[in-house]
Amino acid sequence: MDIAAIEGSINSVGYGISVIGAGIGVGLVFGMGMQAIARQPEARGPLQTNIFLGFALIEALAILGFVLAFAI
Amino acid sequence: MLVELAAETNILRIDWVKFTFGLIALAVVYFFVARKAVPKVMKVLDERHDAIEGGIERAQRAETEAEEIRQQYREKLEEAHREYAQELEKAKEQRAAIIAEAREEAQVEARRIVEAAQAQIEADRQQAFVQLRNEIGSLSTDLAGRIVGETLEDSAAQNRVVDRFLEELEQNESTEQAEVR
Amino acid sequence: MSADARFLAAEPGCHLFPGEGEAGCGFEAPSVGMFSPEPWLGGIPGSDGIDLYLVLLLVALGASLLLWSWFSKKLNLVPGRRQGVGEMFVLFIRDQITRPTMGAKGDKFIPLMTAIFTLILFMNVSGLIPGMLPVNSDLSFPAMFALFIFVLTLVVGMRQQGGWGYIRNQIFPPGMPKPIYILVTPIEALSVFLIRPLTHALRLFATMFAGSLLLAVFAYGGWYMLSLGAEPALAGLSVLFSGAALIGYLLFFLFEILIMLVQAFIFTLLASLYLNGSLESAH
Repeated sequence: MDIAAIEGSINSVGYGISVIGAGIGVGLVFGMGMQAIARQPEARGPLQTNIFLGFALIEALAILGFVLAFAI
Repeated sequence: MLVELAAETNILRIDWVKFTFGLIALAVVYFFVARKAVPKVMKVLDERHDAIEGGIERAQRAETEAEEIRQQYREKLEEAHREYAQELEKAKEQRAAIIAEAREEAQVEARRIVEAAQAQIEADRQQAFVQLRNEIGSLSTDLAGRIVGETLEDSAAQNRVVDRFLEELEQNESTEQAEVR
Repeated sequence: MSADARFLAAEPGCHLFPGEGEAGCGFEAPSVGMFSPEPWLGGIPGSDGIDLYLVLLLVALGASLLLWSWFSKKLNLVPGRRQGVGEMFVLFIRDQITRPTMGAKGDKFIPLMTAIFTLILFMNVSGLIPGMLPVNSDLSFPAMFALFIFVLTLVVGMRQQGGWGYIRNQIFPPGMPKPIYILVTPIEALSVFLIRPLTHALRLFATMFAGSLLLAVFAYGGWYMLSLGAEPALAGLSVLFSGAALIGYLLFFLFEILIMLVQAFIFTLLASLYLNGSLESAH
């Protein structure tokens, strides 16, 4: 038995890797968003909108990873 | 068994039966919520909003109304004051006017009386003058006649004649005056 | 929760420490197979037929209708506790979802967003019933919601801005220097017309799917490690193990409740965000 061999689906590993970037990105988006809102609470509405737009776009990458993990 | 199931199922498939039923469920919930639930809740929210806002508005309206009435009252009071002052002023003016008029009239009257008196005096004077002239003429001739009729040498006699003449004259005058009165 | 009784019944004696006279067997982790319950009425062409999902969908539908008929029953000017919660719900949809994204002109979408939020919430929460699945862990339902929203954005956008006007506003965001469009336009076109609806559906699906799979792993593992038939020392150890699994299960159960709420919220929020792009021309 080869020690370095990986059994099972390697797709899951790929998904895990793909999620790293998305996780960092989502963290940045919300962290920066909170900072922005804290600095300018009166601009909360547009900021929140943009936070969620950015979040959706970034999470799209993670979701694409999820899809590819199952589709391929 | 599990492995077999896993192998034959693709989780990313879309089942049209489930899709359709899901759509129907969404439609049912949507129509229920949009037709019945949310409008009712919104209506009550609006009503409450109206009630609260209406209460505030009513209070504000009452306040403005009161303010308006007070303003009107104040205006009326001011107007009354002003009218009173005006009346007073007018009365003063009238009084002054009346006094001035009366004074004027009195002066005119006085002047008229003075003028009338002067005219009377003038007329009397004139009359007296005319009468005097007539009488002086006749008296002179009368006196002259008498003087000429007496002897002219006696100066004492002359004086007596003159004195008698003057006495007669005075008597005539006094009887005339008595007649006038 | 997703410790599907069917599978447990199929292999009752498989534990970590096999007792006397029992053959040891490996741990069969729950797999994606648990999201394909056996249909009760098969034979429909191109379909899995009527299965657990549709029953749970009916339950979610009934719960939504019940909730809203309860909330909208006998409303007074002075609210009671029940009416207060119902009003809070509607105001939450208005003040947290439609107003921040669409402004006052999005008020006509409040009923739709309320319906979507309620239905998705109940379709998620059905997974909290032990042995059941979140309805949204089958892609058909999130895809239905996302496609509905996508078609709605297209219809509303084309009605508000004209057919070409809407597409132009979407793929040529105004206020950029001309050469940038070479970069931006393909990205925007791909993003708006393909990635948005896809991720919109898949986000909800993936979180529900992964969440219930995770809970199933804890439940299966806890059951697998509980080997009461083994020697006393090993049995005590196994109770310790499965106790840890139970704690993990409970923690993730609470986490799942949060995730279900948040995903319903995010789905609705993104739906109204996408609708906002149709309502106003400025991107």
